[in-house]
Amino acid sequence: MVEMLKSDFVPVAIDQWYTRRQKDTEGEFYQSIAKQGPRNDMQHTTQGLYVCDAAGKLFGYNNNRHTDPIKKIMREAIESFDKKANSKVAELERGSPDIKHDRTIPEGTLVVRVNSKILGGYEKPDTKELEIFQTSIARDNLWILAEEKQQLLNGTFPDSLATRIARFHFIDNTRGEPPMWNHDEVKSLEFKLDKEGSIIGTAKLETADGGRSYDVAIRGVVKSKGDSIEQFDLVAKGQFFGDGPYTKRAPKGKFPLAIAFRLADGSENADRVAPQGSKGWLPQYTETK
Amino acid sequence: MRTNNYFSIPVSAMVTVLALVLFSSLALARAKDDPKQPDLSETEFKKLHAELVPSAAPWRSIPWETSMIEAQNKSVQQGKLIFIWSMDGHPLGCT
Repeated sequence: MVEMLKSDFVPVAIDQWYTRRQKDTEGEFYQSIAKQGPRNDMQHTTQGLYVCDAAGKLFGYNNNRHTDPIKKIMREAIESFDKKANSKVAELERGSPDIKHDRTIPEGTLVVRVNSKILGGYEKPDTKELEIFQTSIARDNLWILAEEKQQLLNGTFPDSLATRIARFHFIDNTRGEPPMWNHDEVKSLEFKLDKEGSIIGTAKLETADGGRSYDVAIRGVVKSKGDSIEQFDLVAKGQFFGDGPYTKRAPKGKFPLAIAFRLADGSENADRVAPQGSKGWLPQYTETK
Repeated sequence: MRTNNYFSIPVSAMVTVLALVLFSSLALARAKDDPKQPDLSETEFKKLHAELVPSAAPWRSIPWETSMIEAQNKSVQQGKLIFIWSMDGHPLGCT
């Protein structure tokens, strides 16, 4: 399937939460395809795998973890695909993006890759699939905005960056889309950056009902050269408790969760993906005051 | 001033030193036992930072586009079908 995707398809990965809502060319093109499938109500999820051509004609849809059904759709699409007609389709132009849903990386922003893992606490899994799930390393991106980068260059760890990391990245995203933290759920937060570029700190986060919490130690290093940040390595490790509506089946009680941060080098398209925490929260996510 | 006969140190100074030692010991013991004071050593930082890197799974070798428009344009230019991986949460960015 991987080879077929590389040789015969243009593969594209999207968060349809945005795309099915977007009122711009990007959204309209996706919606025209999704509406031909079984999940054709744009008020609800349209997630799944789609095969289509440049005109937006749908060849097939599937939303099954097993690969055989989608491989069948892909093979049949290749057989009936009219390459000549496809080459005559007008290329879409971006036009004005829907600013409510646009997540273009702000100018001057540093992208940091964020990976998290639960280090223990699960009961022994009864299936291989569950074992993979429980030992997986989750991914996300952190944005360091231009003025925060400048503060780091000046030897200060910006409060806004510390708050963003705590509220939107000290999360358990290893089983799906996690809940973030509200301002008043940040009980304590401290990031100290010394003259050598070493970072140490702690954070304590807890919901009002005590149903979710994270008590964490922080250590890291920031190195700069001229006006460029060359290194931004950070690790947070602590005891997490609880789960969210889309992250059920957490280990029982408190469990160790570690989160690592490192600068993205732009070598992966995933570096262009907006932080999960900016979903529906962009003004708060990008707060710098 | 009263002094200790053996060491000729003022008693008040000895009391202060003893109090400091006792306080430090208690504080250290509390830091070790109190889960409210998490700590992360330099060694553990380096170990975790090196370990928390996603594996080179086959799907990661696929040149995923992240824009429908770019995918459509490439489809026209390269004569290829479009394969859309559409999820709740970005497939490349969330879990």
